[in-house]
Amino acid sequence: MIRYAYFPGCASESTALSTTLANNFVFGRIGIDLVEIKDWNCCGATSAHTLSEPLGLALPARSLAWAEKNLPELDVVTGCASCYARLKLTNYRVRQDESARYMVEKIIEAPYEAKREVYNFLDILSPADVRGRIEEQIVRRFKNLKAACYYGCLNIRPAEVTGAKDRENPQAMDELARLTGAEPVDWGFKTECCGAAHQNDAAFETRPLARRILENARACGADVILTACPMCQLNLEMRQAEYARKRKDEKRGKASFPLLDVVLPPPEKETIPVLSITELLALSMGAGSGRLRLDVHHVPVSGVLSKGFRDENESEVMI
Amino acid sequence: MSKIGVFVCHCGTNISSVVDVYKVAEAAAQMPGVSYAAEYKYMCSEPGQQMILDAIKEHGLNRIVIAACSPRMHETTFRKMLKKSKINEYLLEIANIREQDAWVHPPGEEATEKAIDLVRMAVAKVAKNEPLKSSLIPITKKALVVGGGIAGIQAALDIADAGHEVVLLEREPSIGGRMVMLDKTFPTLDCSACISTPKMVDVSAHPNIKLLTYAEVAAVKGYIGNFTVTIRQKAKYVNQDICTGCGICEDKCPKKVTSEFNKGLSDRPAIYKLFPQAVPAKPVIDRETCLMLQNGKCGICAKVCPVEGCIDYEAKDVEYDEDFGAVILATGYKLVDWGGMYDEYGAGRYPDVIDGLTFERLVNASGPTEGHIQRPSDGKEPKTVVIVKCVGSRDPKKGKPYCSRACCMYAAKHAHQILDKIHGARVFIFYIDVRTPGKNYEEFYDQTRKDGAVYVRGRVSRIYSDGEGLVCQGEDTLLNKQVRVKADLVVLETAMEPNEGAGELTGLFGASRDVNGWIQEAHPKLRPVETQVGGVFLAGACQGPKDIPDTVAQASAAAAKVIGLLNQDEMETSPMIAAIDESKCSGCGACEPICPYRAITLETIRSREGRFTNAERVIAKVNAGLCQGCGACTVACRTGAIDLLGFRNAQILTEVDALWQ
Amino acid sequence: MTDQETLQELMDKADVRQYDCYQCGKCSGGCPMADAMDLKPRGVMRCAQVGSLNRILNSNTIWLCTGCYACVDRCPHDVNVPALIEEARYEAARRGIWRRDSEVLNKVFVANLKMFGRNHEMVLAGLYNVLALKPAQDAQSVPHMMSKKLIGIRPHSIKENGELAKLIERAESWDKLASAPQEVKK
Repeated sequence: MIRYAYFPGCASESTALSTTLANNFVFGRIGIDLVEIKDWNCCGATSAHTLSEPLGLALPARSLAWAEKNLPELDVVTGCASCYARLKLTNYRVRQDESARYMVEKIIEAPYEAKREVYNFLDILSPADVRGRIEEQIVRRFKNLKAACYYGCLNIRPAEVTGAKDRENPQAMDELARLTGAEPVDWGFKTECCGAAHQNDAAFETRPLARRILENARACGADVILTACPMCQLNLEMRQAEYARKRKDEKRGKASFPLLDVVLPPPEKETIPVLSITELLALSMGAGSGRLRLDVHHVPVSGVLSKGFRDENESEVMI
Repeated sequence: MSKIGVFVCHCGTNISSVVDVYKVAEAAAQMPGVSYAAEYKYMCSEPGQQMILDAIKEHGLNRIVIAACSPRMHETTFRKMLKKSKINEYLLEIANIREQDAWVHPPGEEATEKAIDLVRMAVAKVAKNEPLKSSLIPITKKALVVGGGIAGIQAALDIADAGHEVVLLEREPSIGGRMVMLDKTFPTLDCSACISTPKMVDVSAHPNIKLLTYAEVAAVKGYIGNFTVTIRQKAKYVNQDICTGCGICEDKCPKKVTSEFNKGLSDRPAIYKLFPQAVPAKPVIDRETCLMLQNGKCGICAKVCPVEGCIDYEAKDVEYDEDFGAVILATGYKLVDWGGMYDEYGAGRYPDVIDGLTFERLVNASGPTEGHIQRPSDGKEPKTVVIVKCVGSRDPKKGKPYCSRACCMYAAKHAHQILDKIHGARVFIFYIDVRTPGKNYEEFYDQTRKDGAVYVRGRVSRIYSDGEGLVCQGEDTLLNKQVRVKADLVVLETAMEPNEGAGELTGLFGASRDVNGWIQEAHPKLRPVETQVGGVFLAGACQGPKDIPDTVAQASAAAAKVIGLLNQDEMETSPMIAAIDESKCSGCGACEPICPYRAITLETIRSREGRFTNAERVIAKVNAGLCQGCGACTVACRTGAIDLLGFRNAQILTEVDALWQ
Repeated sequence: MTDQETLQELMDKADVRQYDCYQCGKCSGGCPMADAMDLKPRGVMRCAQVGSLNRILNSNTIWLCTGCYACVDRCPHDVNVPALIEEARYEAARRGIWRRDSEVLNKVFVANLKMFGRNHEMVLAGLYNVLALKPAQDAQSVPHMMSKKLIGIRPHSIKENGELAKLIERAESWDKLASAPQEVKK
């Protein structure tokens, strides 16, 4: 049994419901035990470090220090790129800079030495033995499903903190997607920032970021975007109706009423479903869409499901 | 009894504005052993030298100290001067009171005091100096030029025209190098092949040039004037003496491999000439891909060859030694593997992102598309082309720290060619700076803008596909605006780096390379075509990025140096070399691996040891031709048996002692 | 301290040297937020080179940078612009120079954390929209998220949220704590 200290992140309790269900399903199937850090608190992304470095480091350190004390033999894993970036950076700074460690320990009033590593889901799903376990659990493989794997910026950069080698065209998620039968497309926005960090306080300015990502994925032939972060997930998904309306407006040359998006959802060809990589793995491992609560997605994922599965040993499985 | 003369130079006002030269001369006159001291405005000038010679006669001086500029500057000048007197030219010391004093200190007492100290040290040392005599070594009147690109070709022709024998060695099956791959050359736009292939023919026809293609240097022994080079002639499997070059074998060869010469844009057979105008114009068999040589099944070329016994599958590589008096390294450059450096430019996964040399083949009349610019992915003619400069250059993090010098110009040339050949084409050139320091270069840049090329100041940040084509994203730094250019073809003007194998080859000759791997010249300004190894010269881009005019100029310069050397029957060697006191040498061999010039060997001698009259023992020997007098061995010697003549330990210690007097 | 010295101090903290930048624009060229910034990453470096601290502190850049690190990743001289931007943001906050929306969000965010210890989306977005005078921002998604119970009024607070609030106060006053002489240790 592989075990990790698990930092779920705030989104896991709310907007990322279906991803959380999928995580539980997938990690249960492949025998990875995620031991939740007790009474973990928000990592502070992305406001805390905007205000001050001490707060930006101390918030993650509180949860990390608990794990270090109570689960000393376990590395930490989190499923959110923002949390990952903050936890990993805290670890890095505490290791690299004695005065940062002193500061952090003073503020959290507990010892913290950053003895263990911080990983994201892609890190822990990629080793060959884990891939082998995933392969064993795969019961059905998607047919003709073209997937644009979106890694997000914070799972990858900054390089000196994450140690990621290929920061422009990473392959870890593509390879996981391939296990499910999906065909990863070659596209240009794998690690381009989606702007989730400022989706509230700079809503107008960050909209183009997500829009460019969505449009490039579609232009490169993807049927679905896969994510490894609930913040990216929400940010890419939530406003697709708005973007579709804006595209229409740009074509017509005049603006329409925003709240129309609620009553008149855009046609399917104007949107692209967004799934987390664990949701895709769970589906491929046989989880039903009801069990995974795929209905919570802002953009209907029926397009992915209707692609169907490959006819390998038995007749085609439909959900 | 030493009678030392001290001469203090003002160097115009270079020294005298900082150092009180009169005071220095006065102080010098009081130093032990000094019988005469004087100062003068320009010691190195004709009257200055005459003044010294007169003083030697008048005061019967037998040792000289000159307090002036660095010995690198004028030591040889004054040594030559001493040849006119009866003083041995090594009984001279230079006190460097310019670079080591006047130029680095503010005017005042302290600078003068330092000058006096420096003179005192020189006086102390010169008293201990001993006369040295240079020896003469014979010279083999034949030159080796390694590398058959335009640098090697030019150097070989120049030396041969001067009447000396030359061996031009090239590892590819044909000479021509990079230049024959190019289409047109800036700034004149004359066809590269039209001006280089005649030179290639000249090489093959020249009575003084022996051309060795498909050959490599395997080993090097010897020293200036007397090199012995082991040459490895790779098997060509085609008898070059009887082959008529008819080309039937090439047509019939069933094996096709990617053509290196066409940068992967076309295929070539396993039996091949590098390109149609190759010199020699006879094919070789590439043994790595030939079906017959790999698994013994085929033999078609031998069957179709009209000349009996011309194709010989049994041929073997041959190694042999040849003697040379001088060597020119002209190993050239290659373009960096940008795909391995720039993930943000697609890391090579977009076929329509190509480097400049690939574009040269694409636009070349004798290239795979016969000069029609067709993009590699689908053969379509591109309408919008983006040219990106400084890819791998000026990038210490991912590429090379240096500027590759030629790219600004060939980028302009590429733009011109695209606009010339494709009607209605649009060309965007992303640049950081436009560098055109050459004759008619700026004018060429002007013309390119007139042709319609749009220069965008900014380094492209990334290149991605939008599903239909390529998008180049960067900042127009002059507009302060992010721009995205949708391109049909992207040409990356990539950095030059030293050619494959240049490092090992340089090592064989004992020459050194700089931090970037380019061969190090002996002095960047004053000895630009010499390496630190006597008799080994360099030409062209092996020394650093260069365009064709500079390469040819440097090749001729290197040739002139070689001609100068080969014109002598024998040459003087510097006597300031390591000397071994055989009685002290224990034969431990510590000095041997330390010598960077491989000048030290261990030898067994027979000598009288106590009561043994014929005892055998090992001692170190210094080869006077190889030793460059660096002194590394003297420090390594445990018994203190090695001294550097002219810089004996005792002499240097005297100098140090003098500082504290 | 003069602006010149402050700027130098910010650059030292960020480990950025102004002379490393030769203004090639590769950073701004790839910056996802460049279109919205009044001073793009290259401009920040330019201001650093000419000593114009005020322009940096008053730019919207320091509030809009998402910290994606694409610029430094591609920079040929490894100039860590985001680190400089971060230091400049702290300095701006110290001087009370704020971009209004960022100020509102950050304050709401920290208040939210002090209350619950975790991020409560309803409270965060709701309070922000009210205080930033943007009542309709993202309102179209609310019915869906409410109906699927993705967000709601149910608080998800941590047990030791009192402790956490104190922790946050200690962090916020760290500059004062650290400058107390007996506390300093390097």
